[in-house]
Amino acid sequence: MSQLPPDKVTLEDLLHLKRAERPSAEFWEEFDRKLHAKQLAALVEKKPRWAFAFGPLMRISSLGALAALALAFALQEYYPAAGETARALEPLVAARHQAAPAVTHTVAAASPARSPVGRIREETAPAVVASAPAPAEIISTTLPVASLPANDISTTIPWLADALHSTAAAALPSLRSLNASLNMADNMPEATSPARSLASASFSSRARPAADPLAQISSPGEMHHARMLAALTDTHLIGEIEPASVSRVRERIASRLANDGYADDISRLGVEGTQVSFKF
Amino acid sequence: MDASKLLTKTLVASPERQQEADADWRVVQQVQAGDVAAFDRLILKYRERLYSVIYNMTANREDAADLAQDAFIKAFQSINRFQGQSTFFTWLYRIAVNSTVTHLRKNRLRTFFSLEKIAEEGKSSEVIAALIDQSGAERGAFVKELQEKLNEALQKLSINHRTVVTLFEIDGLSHAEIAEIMNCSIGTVRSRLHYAKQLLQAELQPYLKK
Repeated sequence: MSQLPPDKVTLEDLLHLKRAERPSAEFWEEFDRKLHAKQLAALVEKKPRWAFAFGPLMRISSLGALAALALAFALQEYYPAAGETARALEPLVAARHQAAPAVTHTVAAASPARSPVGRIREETAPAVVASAPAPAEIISTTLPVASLPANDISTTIPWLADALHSTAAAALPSLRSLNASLNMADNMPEATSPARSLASASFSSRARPAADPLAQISSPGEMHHARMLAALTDTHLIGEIEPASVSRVRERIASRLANDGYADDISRLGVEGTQVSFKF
Repeated sequence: MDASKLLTKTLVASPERQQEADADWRVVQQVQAGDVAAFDRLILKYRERLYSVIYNMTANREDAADLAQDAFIKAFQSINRFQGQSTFFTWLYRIAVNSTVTHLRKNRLRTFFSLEKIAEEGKSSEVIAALIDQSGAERGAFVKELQEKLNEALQKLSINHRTVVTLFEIDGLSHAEIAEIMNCSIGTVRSRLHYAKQLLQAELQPYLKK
């Protein structure tokens, strides 16, 4: 056996040692056993043929679903109140889906009596009531903000028109509240029509601007004056002067008390008969 | 594959390699025709070399066994797509090397050795004898220490450098074959090999005698 010279060990010689790291025969038996088991498992778990055929279709459909989700999310981003108002507008949308007869029935019922409610409805939303147009037309006549995209898109994507309608209606809360009030008024029986005016009156009274809450709070000085006035009236006036002149005395005291400089000490006040005296 | 690569491969490949490639291609055609058992011949032929490459890249015998088995399974599952544009063994090596690189990148922080025993025969015995004169227990301890140092030095290399060193110095592949397996140019292979050897030289300096 040829011996390597001791001074000639190179890096390649050292790396050659790695070739000598070999597993035993038992290792290969185990290796073959596991490999065949994996091979069988791979054969059993082979994909069915329809998976290859429908694989691209599945990818395309998943992409489409993803795009629809992104569009819905974008709509939600631009019209954040759409989801909230969609629930409130459910009766309107349902009526629109039931098409023209339902709407014309409402008009016909309202027209003979010409109730104030019917007139208001006709004035505010003439296109909706007059001819019961298609959904896209409703959007274009009543909601001009959304009319441009809705006219184009609703013909090709019907559900998008619904979404736009709901979102555009959400942009007009006055229309929403008006419709809700009109619906409520329509549901009331005809015999209770006087109650409508009462309801509208109470509504108008409620609708007045509320008083300034700060103005309703009395200042500490006013409360002090009131207490002093009550004390004077109770302790000095009652029983000493005639009841008819009590109110006049009280007015005088009140006018004097209005001056804060006199009201700092109640001991300065004195009452004799119909005279009120102050000590300075 | 472009013309220059084909020419390089033709120039480098020895007649024995060419005969092997032809024999492999015939077996592959049998497997593609439905003779599944013919694939076992390819497994028996390449399992030790493939295992050796993966083992020297990972320094872990269990991981190497799993990765080698997975490489054979992947090759078996994809054999209908193999059209003979490269040799079967470079195709199989590419699968194995890619799987191993992915595994090493996933488990970059988890490195522990699980080493095979060095079989002292032939050239390895000569190298060990040149490094140490003692015999018996001291020799065994020295060989074990040398093995650990070698693996530590290899693990300090980057994955690409380690792969080049393993394929060239340990498995004995040509630059062109390595370039085909690693999907890079021959110049890149040479550059990586040079750099890796420099690093290994520095790491293993105590064991090298000039």
